[in-house]
Amino acid sequence: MNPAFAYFYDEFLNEKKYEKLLNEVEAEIANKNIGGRIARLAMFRNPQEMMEDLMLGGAKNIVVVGDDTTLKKVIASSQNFDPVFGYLPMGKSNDMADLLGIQRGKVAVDILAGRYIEKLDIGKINDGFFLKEILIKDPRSRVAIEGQFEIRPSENGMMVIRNVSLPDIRHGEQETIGKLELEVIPEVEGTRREKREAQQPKTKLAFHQSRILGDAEITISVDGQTLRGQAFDVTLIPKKLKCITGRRFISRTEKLIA
Amino acid sequence: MFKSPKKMETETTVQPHVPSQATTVIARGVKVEGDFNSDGDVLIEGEVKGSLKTTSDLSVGGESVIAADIKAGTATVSGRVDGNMIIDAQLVVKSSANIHGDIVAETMSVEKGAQLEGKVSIGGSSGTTQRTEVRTETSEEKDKDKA
Repeated sequence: MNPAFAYFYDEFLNEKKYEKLLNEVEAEIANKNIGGRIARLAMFRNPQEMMEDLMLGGAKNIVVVGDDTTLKKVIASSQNFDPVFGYLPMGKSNDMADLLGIQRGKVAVDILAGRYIEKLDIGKINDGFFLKEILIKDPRSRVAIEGQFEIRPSENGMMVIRNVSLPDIRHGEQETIGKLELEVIPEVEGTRREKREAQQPKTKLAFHQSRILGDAEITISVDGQTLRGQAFDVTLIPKKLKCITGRRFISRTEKLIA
Repeated sequence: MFKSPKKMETETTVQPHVPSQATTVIARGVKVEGDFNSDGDVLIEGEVKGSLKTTSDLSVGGESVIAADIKAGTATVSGRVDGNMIIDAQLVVKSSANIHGDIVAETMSVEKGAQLEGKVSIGGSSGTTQRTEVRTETSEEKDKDKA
């Protein structure tokens, strides 16, 4: 047992279908001598109390075993502490694992044991946070950038605010540290061919601070979760999240292929 | 011996503007309202209301509508502008442009068919300034005259 490591297991891992994968991963964890205390998330258990217990017990690395929702829940419970986060992705929704360069299964344990730590920017939205993106599809909404101007699609369409310190390296996206990015995607009418022919340069703006506004209550999606309100303040917290990633391996592979 | 005064060209061929990766784009179907400032090149294909400033190049696309005062290093206008323009270097007005407002530019070229209404001041840094009030005939007025 390694007291520097502690593991948060999501409740859905109790399902039979995860048993084999979990056994493989746990065997590899033992091989690498990075086994630690395990906390199991459940409906009536308080994640903040569980986090406090693990951190005061000497854990330096908090490893999330689950999906992106689990990851976000565990990070949200760590506000009074500053651990290094690891991620062993399981389940259906693991986009964050892809962005962090973490594969599934035993390879994820190799990445964890390698402890390549990056300090990642995270987005702040009112009192909460987001790791990846905010989707704004409500036609009544607009975004005020740096308090200087407001922008929106003319008719239907959508806007996306992205944390671009986590680009999709597989698709050649570039990393932009220290800023968030707003993309405004107007609706293009017509057939698929007309839409393809109408492709135009994209409206993408980098910023530090913005405000999502609506004349009435609007609905937005923050990392897949729905929020309702009339105004949302969005800023960036630079280098807030310490995270073990596998991104250096992806970058190197991309360069070799190129 | 005698330097010919700077002329306002009525027809010119200009290479089409291809946005570089560093260009900020306001695409068709996007609306901006307020003070829009940039240090790099800007391409407007949508709508802008308020003020628009860049120290670099500004391109106003054929379908864009700008109701703003503009300040730019250089500019190429193909769409509608309702507002005053101050251009540090060259202003190119394409045939589809429709500008209502005063213009101050170092140099200016205007394609046949462009519509302008306002005061135009050209030159300044060279010490020679031409000021003139311009109002081009619109196509509706041309049709009326023919009738």
